[in-house]
Amino acid sequence: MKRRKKNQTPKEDVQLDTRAISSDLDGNLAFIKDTLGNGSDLVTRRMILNKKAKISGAVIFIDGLVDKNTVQDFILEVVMVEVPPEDLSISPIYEAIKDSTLPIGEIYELKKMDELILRLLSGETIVMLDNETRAIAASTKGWKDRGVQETTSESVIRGPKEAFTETLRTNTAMVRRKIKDPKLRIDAKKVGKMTVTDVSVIYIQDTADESVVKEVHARLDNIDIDGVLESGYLEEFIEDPPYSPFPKVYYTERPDAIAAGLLEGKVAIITDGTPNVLLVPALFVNFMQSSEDYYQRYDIGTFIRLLRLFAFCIALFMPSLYIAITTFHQEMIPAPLLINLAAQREGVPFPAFVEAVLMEATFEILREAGVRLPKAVGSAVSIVGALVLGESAVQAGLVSPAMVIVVAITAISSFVFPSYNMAIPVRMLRFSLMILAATFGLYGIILGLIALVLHLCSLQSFGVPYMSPLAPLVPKDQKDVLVRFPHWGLLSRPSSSSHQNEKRTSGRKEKGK
Amino acid sequence: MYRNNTISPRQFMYLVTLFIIGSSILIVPGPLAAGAQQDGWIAALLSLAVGMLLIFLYHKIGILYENKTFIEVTIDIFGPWIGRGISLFYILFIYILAALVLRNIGDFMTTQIMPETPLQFTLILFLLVVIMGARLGIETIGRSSEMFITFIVLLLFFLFLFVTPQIETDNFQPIFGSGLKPIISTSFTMLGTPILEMVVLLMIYPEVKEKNKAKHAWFFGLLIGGGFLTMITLISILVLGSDLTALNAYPSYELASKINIAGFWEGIEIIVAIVWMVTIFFKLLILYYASTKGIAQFLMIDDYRTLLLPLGMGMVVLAIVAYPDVAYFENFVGTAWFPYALTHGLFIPLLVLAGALIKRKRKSKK
Repeated sequence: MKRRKKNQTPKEDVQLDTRAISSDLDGNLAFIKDTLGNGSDLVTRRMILNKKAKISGAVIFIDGLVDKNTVQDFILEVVMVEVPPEDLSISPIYEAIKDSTLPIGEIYELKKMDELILRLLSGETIVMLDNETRAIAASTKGWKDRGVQETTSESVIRGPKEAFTETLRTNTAMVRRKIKDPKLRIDAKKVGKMTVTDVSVIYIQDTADESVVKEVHARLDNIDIDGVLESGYLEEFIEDPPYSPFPKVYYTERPDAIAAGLLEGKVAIITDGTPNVLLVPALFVNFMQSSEDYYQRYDIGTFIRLLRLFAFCIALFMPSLYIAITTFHQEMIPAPLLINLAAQREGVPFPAFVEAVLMEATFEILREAGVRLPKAVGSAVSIVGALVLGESAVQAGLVSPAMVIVVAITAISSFVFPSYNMAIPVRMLRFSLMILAATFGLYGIILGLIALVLHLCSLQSFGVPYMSPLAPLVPKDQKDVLVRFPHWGLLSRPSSSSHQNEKRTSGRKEKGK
Repeated sequence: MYRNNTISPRQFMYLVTLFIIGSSILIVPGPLAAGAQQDGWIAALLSLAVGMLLIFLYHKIGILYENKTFIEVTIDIFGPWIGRGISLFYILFIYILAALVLRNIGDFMTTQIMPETPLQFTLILFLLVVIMGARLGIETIGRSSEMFITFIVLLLFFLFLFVTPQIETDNFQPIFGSGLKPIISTSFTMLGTPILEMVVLLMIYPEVKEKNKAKHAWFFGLLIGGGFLTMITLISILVLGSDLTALNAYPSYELASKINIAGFWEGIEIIVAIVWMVTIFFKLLILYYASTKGIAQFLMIDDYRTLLLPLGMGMVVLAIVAYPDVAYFENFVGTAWFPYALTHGLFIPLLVLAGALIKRKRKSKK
């Protein structure tokens, strides 16, 4: 803490000059070029605007960050060809350009050099005139981006396929297009001293909890960092107690999931340059839910949620239970199965714990390799994984076949979670539970479980208890936690994230009533 | 930031339930069946009724001073010296009880489930998690009780359901076979453990919101917890017979070992033992939290958390040296515990209440 405070006032701050734009055009241009180190992508186009009055001006932009056609057709052409207006005495040339000739929607008037440089670097085109202490910035942002594509990490069978992109404006538009309520608020922020990343805080006023909105703003304003390249940077700065493996901020690249969160009264944070949008407050149960639960019929939605919970338990406890039961509590296994298992383990030289750790570690390595490898090589990994490590490890007598099954079911179960970041604590905690199981058997597992629940119950996300609405128990909200009621039955918003404007639907109207 | 250290009446109810079931579910059925034979469950019901009356007293003390624990109230009423003297007994009662409960789970584990693991390690591991819970505060304790109560209730019903085929109704006849006298004298056992121990809850009572609801929560908590204890005693007698129940060190665990699903799956009593572990955990957690908090208030230390680790070391040692063997323990519970619990569960609270009323009267005279 102390160190950070000291760093806040470094000796040589590379702060831009807060000086005003001078009336000397050449001086201004020289200053801009100087500040940007005469960068090769900086374009400064000098011109004479009015031959009679000999007013010279300049158009400045950064090549690659602007849409060339816009600059060409709506700025250069207008400024060079259409200006001058007939009578300069009625309206000075600056006002003429700004108010009547520039056919561009977003226009700003600049007086300070630092603001000018910032706008220039974020893709706006600057128009400057000689003998004028003001400059015009016209929004001409336009660069190559990926375009809206199908989501890759959170695919669904039923539901919209589009995903957020790297461009902030496209992303806010995608949210706005889903929620046409005028109370949808999109607050702008800039985070990062060097990257000056655009961040948008989105919420629906009078639905979102005001204290949470305020808290989000305050925490974002408090961030002091040189650069923000992904929303993960923000996440680590704003999440509640930082010492916990569990995610306390939800992220998704699905606009519909964000819209659903906003409708529940949550607050979304969009970061420029990444398709991963944050959503707070995030509760434990949110990570167990997929947006598809709401698109499929409610009965299958409920079934899948229960299945996921089951898979969560398997992914967390299966290997440790296997270890505990085979080493400490053999009497729990029905006799025929026990004989079977014992026969399988006959040639295996390791205790169950070593066997399990070996296989789990191998699987984690394979999984990581599968993520990083180029697609073309990916199939090779699966062959190695499936054949060599499964079949051959058994034949070589290193592991028992039952262990392979346990590891396989654990692995498959950990892919069931809709959120990748909830699978991470499960993967890590699995190993500590295995150690507890190897030393204390079921007793250790139960104590591990109790410690885990205690930890989970102590967490909170932006003031909301992490395990709500399970603990503290909110009976009204149970309709949309482990089960999903039909949409006409979900009468109110979850009270964990919204205290006002609670009504969602007045229920289903029967025909003829 | 948003932290407020209170629990809802519902959470308090769950805590009471877990507190009542914890460790008693292992200890109580045996002595009940030994004293009143097949009428042991009636003795349990009787003590439950007395417990209901006790809650009136406890609630009265709990609302004497809205936000003060029993220790603070006592010191406030009797002054720093006499008040501290009385609270010292109360604190020692909680601390010794906590050590005994810790030893209970240790004994149960080492005799029934993991005979090869040394007692010390079982105790230390258990207490470490308890310390973690106490460090996280009452709010977390309340919330986690909500997480576990469903599992506990489901597992207990699971147990009841799967032993029903083995019930022999002859086992609990004749009702009132040996008259009322043994029933009444046996009910003292369950009054001692756990009904009178409820006085410990006065340490967390100030942290419960909405006091008028809290009283009902206490009632229902006792009713549910005591109901389960009565049920398990009744079913133990029905399945095992009163003699076997009385002879066995852990009759309810023996009961669980009778589970036989479709003639294929048996020996799953350890799944039911999860109930024992979790409920004892919560009982110990409440006791430990109450005793550290009490000692902190006794010594006027602002934060009880600093005491958690050192007192934990003492507790492990105390749990080990408290009694040499199970036979000694059973004798101790049978003879000494009831008067000991009665002193702290009834007489000291009555004394404090009387003191408070006299003090109030004097004040109003002035």
